[in-house]
Amino acid sequence: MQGLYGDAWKRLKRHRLAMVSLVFLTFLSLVAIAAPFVTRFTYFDQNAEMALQFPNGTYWFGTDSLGRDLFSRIIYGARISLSVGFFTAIFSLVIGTIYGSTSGYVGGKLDTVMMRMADILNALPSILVTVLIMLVVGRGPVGIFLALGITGWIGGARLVRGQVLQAKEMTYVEAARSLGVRRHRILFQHILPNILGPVIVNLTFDIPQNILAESFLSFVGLGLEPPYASWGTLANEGWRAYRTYPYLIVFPGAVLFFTILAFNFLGDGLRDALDPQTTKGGH
Amino acid sequence: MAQFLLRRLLIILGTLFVLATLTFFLLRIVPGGPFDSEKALPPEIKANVEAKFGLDKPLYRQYLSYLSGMATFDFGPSFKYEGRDVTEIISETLPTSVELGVYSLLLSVLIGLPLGILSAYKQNTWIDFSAMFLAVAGISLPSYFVGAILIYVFSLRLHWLPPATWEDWTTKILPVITLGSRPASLIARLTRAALLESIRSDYVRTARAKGLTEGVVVLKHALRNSLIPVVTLLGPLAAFVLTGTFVIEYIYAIPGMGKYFIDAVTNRDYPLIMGVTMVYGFVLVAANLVVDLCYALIDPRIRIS
Repeated sequence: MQGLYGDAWKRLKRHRLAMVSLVFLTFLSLVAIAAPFVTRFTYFDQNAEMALQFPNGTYWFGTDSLGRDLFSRIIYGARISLSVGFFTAIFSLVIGTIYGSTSGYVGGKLDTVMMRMADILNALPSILVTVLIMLVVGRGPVGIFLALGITGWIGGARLVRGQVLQAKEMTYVEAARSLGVRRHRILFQHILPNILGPVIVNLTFDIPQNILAESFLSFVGLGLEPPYASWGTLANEGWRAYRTYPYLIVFPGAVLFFTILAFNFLGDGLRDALDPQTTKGGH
Repeated sequence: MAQFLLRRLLIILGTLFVLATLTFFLLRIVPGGPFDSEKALPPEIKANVEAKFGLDKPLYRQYLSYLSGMATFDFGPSFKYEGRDVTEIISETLPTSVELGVYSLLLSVLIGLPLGILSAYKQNTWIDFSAMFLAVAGISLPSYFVGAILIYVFSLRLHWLPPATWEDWTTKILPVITLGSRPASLIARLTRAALLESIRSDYVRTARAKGLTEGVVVLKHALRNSLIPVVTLLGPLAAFVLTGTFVIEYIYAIPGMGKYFIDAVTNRDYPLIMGVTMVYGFVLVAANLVVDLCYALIDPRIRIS
């Protein structure tokens, strides 16, 4: 790789915390994908004789009140939590990019109207709207993915619009225009590839936000319903008994914490690498 | 100024109207009604109940009477809490939630701002690194995890503070810390970034050249400009703190509005859901308006137009 992204990769490699985070997240995703081969138990097998075992050699993270292995449940939970975070972020990114680039590139009246609409949607209490949408579409992974995606795209749309507005005034766009390149080709082949940096950074920060949002909803009992188990549902189950069995909340909470931490470090590193002008830390 | 306020007021009304309409129709297309849960009611009784709450009227009539009721802050009777009006429930529970939110926001400013200033002032020292590490950790910790740890350590092990409810000030410490830790971290990060940027600008160099002490340069000259992005953040933070209250109220069993919202969704108590959602929406748009007005106070260059 050469050019902008090659340089960015070089800068990222110097960012030690970001690289550790990248390795950790890659490892976690691989473990989640290979869940059946990594775990000794399924996430749903109950075993009343083995209920509420503290962590030991067989049950690394202990067992819950139904005797299910917490380690296996966390690994399988990673599948749900990570994919909700990832796919929701991609979904909002696609909507946000289409909306933001149309608004910014076409400009004029359309831009004003589209941004006013975004302002109004942005002022809605998004967590509550998410809950309402989930009531309608159901409380499975697809429901939460749709509900978070529908409320989550506005930040991305604003970002893309701002970037497109800036890029429109740049000389490379002027050059393309004077060469007679068609309007949509300028947008898709010249502007969008050039603003990819901030968009990727935004994506890296969106994923943990969605993972957290899902876990909050599931924690208070408004998110995923059984048989689906995310880290948030595990924390919800653990909450009921953690005063006597603290490991029930410590493990799901800690895994979630380290994952979010890794995404944030990676995001900080990516921002420094891809987007050196942006202010540091101002997300 | 008057024109600005008028336009903002129109946006606020538009937002609330969209929210009201969205909520109303979303709840109407939810599969299953509020009264066919648990055990099935005999059809006559069900018809009576539905007539009592006006659910037998055509949809547009329900919508209109709902809108006109809302204009007078009347959300009708609750489906599940018999004999209680939604407005009554909200006016009893809202103050608690607002108190929790305001304290948490105050705490986060009181911690985040000095931490960010200190970090920028001591840039690239161990103070800076540990403060910023703490801030990233604060952003990454889910609040129920923070709550669980705090309750376990300070209530169950040390017996210093009560683990739940919202009565005298000792009960308020843990919930406020739990809710405030994330906003505090965000403010610290942003303050540091903004301050570092303005420290490098020309007018700060001038202030230094005049022979002012470093403390005066940073606190009086640089800080004022760096506050603008921080104030910008307060709008979204108010939103975060407000909607964050329902997790905190769940954790600490605080009888606030968020706890009722969770119950209302679980019970399909439509009037209560709509009432609570509208109140949240109203507080949010009001917070954003206040933030906009604050810009102008801090930075005279930003004209309200």
